[in-house]
Amino acid sequence: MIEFRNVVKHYGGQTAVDSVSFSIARAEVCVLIGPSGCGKTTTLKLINRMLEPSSGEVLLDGYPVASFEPEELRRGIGYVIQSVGLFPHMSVAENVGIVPRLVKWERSRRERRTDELLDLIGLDPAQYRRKYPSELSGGEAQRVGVARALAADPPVLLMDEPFGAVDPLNRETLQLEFAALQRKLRKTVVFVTHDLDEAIRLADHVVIMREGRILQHDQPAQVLASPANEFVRQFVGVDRALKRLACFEVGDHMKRAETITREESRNRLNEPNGDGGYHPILWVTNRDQALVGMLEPELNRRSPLAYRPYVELHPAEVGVRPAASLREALSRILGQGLRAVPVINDEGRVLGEVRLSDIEELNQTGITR
Amino acid sequence: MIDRGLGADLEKTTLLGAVLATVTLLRPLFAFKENRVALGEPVMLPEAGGVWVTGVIAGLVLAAGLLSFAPQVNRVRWAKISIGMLLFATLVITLGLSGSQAVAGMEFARITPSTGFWVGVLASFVLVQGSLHSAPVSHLVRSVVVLIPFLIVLILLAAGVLDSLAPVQEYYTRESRFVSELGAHLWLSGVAVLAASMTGVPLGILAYRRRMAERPVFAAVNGIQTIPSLALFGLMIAPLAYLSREFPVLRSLGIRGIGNAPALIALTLYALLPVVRNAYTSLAVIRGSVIDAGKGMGMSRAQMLRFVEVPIAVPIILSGVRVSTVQAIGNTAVAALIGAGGLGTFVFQGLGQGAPDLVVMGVIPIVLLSVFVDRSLAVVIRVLTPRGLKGAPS
Ligand SMILES: Nc1ncnc2c1ncn2[C@@H]1O[C@H](COP(=O)(O)OP(=O)(O)OP(=O)(O)O)[C@@H](O)[C@H]1O
Ligand SMILES: [Mg+2]
Repeated sequence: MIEFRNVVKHYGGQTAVDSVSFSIARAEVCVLIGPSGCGKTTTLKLINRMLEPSSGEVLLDGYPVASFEPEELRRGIGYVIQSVGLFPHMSVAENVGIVPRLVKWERSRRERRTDELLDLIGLDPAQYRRKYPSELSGGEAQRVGVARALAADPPVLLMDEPFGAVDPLNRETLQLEFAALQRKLRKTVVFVTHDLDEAIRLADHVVIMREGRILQHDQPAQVLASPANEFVRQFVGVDRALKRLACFEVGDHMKRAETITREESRNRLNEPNGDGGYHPILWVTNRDQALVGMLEPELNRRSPLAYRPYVELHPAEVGVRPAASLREALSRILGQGLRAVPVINDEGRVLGEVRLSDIEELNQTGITR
Repeated sequence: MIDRGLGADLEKTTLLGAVLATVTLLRPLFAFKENRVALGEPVMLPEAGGVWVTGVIAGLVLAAGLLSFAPQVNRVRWAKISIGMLLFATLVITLGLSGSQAVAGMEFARITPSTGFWVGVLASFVLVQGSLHSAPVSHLVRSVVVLIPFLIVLILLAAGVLDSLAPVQEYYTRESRFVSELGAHLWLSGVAVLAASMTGVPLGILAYRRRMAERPVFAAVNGIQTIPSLALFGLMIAPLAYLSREFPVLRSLGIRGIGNAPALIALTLYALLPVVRNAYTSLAVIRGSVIDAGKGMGMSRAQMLRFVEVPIAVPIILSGVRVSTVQAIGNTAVAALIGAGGLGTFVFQGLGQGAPDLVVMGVIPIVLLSVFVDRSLAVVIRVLTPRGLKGAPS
């Protein structure tokens, strides 16, 4: 979809982008990351011709971007700029509707689209349509910036630190919302950030840059597992093993869990053998099949006199959702002092379990020391 | 409720207004003169207005005094504004009516307002402005309220109630001259502001767009502003007189050392600074990120101008024009010195003849004109300013 071929960009004597080649597939999120001044914004602006390369070329859908009229090209590429840059004299609705206006949509169609987008980014149109940028919080302004970029439904989206001006908590919310949005919209996204956790959370591929060069271009888990060089190793940090767990979803790594009812738990002395597998923990459910507690058969077997039917659990504290990361699962496991945590759905039903031993195993495969 | 004690809500401005207003009771309201050059006989308020009017004014003073201890809520604000307006109206009407009585039957007799009247007007101004200033009202309402006193005076003038006042008498003896000088005044300031806008806006834009130009442009327009107006008018005379002598073409165009040409040049130069400064600022406030965003959305140069630059910049540029217009109206008064005419003519005539009433007759229309133009432009600018950029009213 987007391809850089030996692209160089000089500013006067300084080289901001130094012979960069990489490509971005359709519908993927590619995150550019690196220290301040490494050329991320410059790289981004080369795509929509806000900047022209000193040499080399950028291709979009196989055609050099230089072959498009700059204005035409840009109207087909959503752009969220680093400092939001909402038009201060326009209302939220006018800001969001600006590209449709430039491409001369009818007013009614524009208004419908604006409301639709405000809904999409989680701002109530009735309440926000008529507000002005000066009346928005930093997070709201950044959402509007994203909505504005999406307005004419461009297939490509360039996002330059779109959540940079928000506190960590809100930033995480925005990231999760964006990830959910992207699953729906499936745009080709080039996303710039300083924040490694953000990159891990959102990226299909990460491009790590330094002084205008690409040091590594790979899937986030791969980068964390085997950093290409000392700089990347330091950049991703000593806790990269832990961070890497954030790349995996619980849903992809859970095992079958064994459940029993409260009644069964009272009269059973032996572990059930539904699948003949090893089940260190039996999850106890109520009549609605919702999680209420757990039973460790081995403990009961060792001291039958002190037999306890089950230990009560708070599903909200112990259970993880299938969409959560293994990092979160590990945190629950450590927090509860258990060998496994249940995976539950919205109704509290047990879908499976994540075991500490599986996480350890996953951690050992792939990661280089 | 916490008892905050008397004086906890003391509003000093209102108190000042009330104290000033007592002067109307203690000092002469006007002076009666048998003819233009006679010495005046002072007349006090009770003598001029009688018991009733004195009572009303004393009541207003007392009410203002008491209200200065009331918490500044909206109802109190409007009460104070009304008191100020009433005080003003009562003073002017009393002045007019009792003046007419005093001069009845005497052909050359007239009255001149004195301390009591002027301080009373000041007091009413303090009362109105002190409360209006913090009132949460729209710009339009504010402008209308400010214009009410002027309206009162105009109506009274038209009705002939103020005919006994010396400045009005001075006006009657020069009516046709007044109209032509007013026209000249408007023409001079108008043309100067127009010329200043047509050169100042491009200069401001140039100063912003070209680093090289910024310093010289601002050095020049700031420099002009530091020359006293009298001196600048004087400076124009010699070179223009020389040019006019050397090039008869210019002379045939009416360009001479004195008269309109030097006046217009000087006025235009003076009017430049606010226009240039605001034109520069209007572009400087458009943040780079906004321009970048517009470009990134795919705006062409023309669309950037139409959707971004003009809506943000025009109100700021017009604010500069507003300041420069008000200045020009004042400066034009000085232009009379070099024979350009305008309302300043009466001021300088009055000064020359030792006739303060003639000076007042020249000054008051200048003030009226300034206020009127200032408020009207303020409303226009307000309307043109996009809602997202509106801050506190000016
Ligand atoms: N217009 C410009 N003129 C000259 N040098 C520039 C210009 N824009 C950027 N640079 C330089 O080019 C280099 C790369 O800048 P760029 O903006 O791409 O960095 P970045 O990775 O986006 O940094 P940040 O994370 O701080 O936004 C920097 O050293 C910067 O100083
Ligand atoms: Mg940047």
